Amino acid sequence: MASPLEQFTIKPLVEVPGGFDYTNSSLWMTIAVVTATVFLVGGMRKRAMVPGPWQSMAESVYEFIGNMIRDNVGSEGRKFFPLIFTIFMFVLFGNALGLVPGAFTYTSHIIVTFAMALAVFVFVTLVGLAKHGLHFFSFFVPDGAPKFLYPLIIPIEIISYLSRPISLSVRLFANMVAGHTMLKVFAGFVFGLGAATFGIGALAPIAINVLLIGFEFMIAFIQAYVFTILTCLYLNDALHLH
Amino acid sequence: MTNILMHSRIAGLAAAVLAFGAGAAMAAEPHGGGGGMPQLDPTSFPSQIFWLIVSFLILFLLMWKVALPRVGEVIEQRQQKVSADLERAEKLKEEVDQIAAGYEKLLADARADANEEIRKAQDRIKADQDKKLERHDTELATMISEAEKRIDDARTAALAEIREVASETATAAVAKLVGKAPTKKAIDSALDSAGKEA
Repeated sequence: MASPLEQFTIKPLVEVPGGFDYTNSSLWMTIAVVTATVFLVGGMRKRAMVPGPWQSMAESVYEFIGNMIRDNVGSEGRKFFPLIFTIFMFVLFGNALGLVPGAFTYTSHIIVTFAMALAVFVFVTLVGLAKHGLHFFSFFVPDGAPKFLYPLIIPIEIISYLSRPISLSVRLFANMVAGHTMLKVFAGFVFGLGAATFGIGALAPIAINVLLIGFEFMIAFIQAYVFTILTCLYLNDALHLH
Repeated sequence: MTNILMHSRIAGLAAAVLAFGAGAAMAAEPHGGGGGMPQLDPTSFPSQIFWLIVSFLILFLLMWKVALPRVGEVIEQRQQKVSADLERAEKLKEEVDQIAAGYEKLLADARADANEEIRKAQDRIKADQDKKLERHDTELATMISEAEKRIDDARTAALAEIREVASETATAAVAKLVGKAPTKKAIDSALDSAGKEA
């Protein structure tokens, strides 16, 4: 039987010299871009005053992210709306499309999530530096802490700041890998137990997988939400320091 | 919610640690067999990062320039329409209030006018009646005084006639009794004294 990790294999579809092959991962990124765009543009095609179900969904995603930025970053976050919205859509569609049977989940690759988290980290740091200049580094000096603790606190603050891209990327990656691996393991049991018990034993793992897939859809949304809201919080830190 | 979140996070992290362990163990072995985590194969990294950047930028441009303005525009339009409608409703309500106030005022005015009219009519009728009564009173008074005068005259005339008759009767009676007619003077004085006693 195939390993539960086989689903994460990268398969080149179109050879591109220099190691930039167009792979199954690239294909599902393309599908995510197309679906996300069709979802929004298609939903808004009627521009109805009283929205139908599709338009309602498109509008609620827009307002969901709009409110998230307003609540967590404030009015200054307004100009980052398209970027944060794109992050949410890219992660959400990556997670959710990955649950289509036979699909590839690009958010289950640490290099993808880490690249995104690192980009967020660098971008947020640059925003902070651009806004506050060198004063930005006062972020690592907590207010009200006694001076003699500075040699201890400042390195801790710096380490915790530098570990943000790691925790941000590993959280998403690990959730996706764990979920998909679990689904595959139980799918494996369906065949293993089914073959041993003339099909009857397959019912239990099927039932578990039915529950798991629902759970995984929730995780797909929650992890996209967590990734986005943490981006907002980091941005808020950079804009408002403490 | 947070509970579930924490739970899935812990499960995910545990799986990741296991996976990393497995990957590291696999990396130590000579390459060739299946298994191991494809995520840890660095040969795929340049392609993954390259296509991530390309897809993300395309999605960003599509969202920024195409999709989000459309959604924002419709939501904006709806908010404008709703607030415009509310404003208009407010204005209409004000107008209705004004009309109602005008109507109330008209009604009150009409009522006041009617009352005034009734009062005037009543006054006019009263004045008329008073005048008529007064006229009747004076008419009655003159009639009464005229009647009294007539009664008075009649009485005086009657008294004069009675005296004449009494004097004649007295003269005749005395002449019969005495055989000699009394003087006119004696009769008058006798009648005067009798008249005083009466």
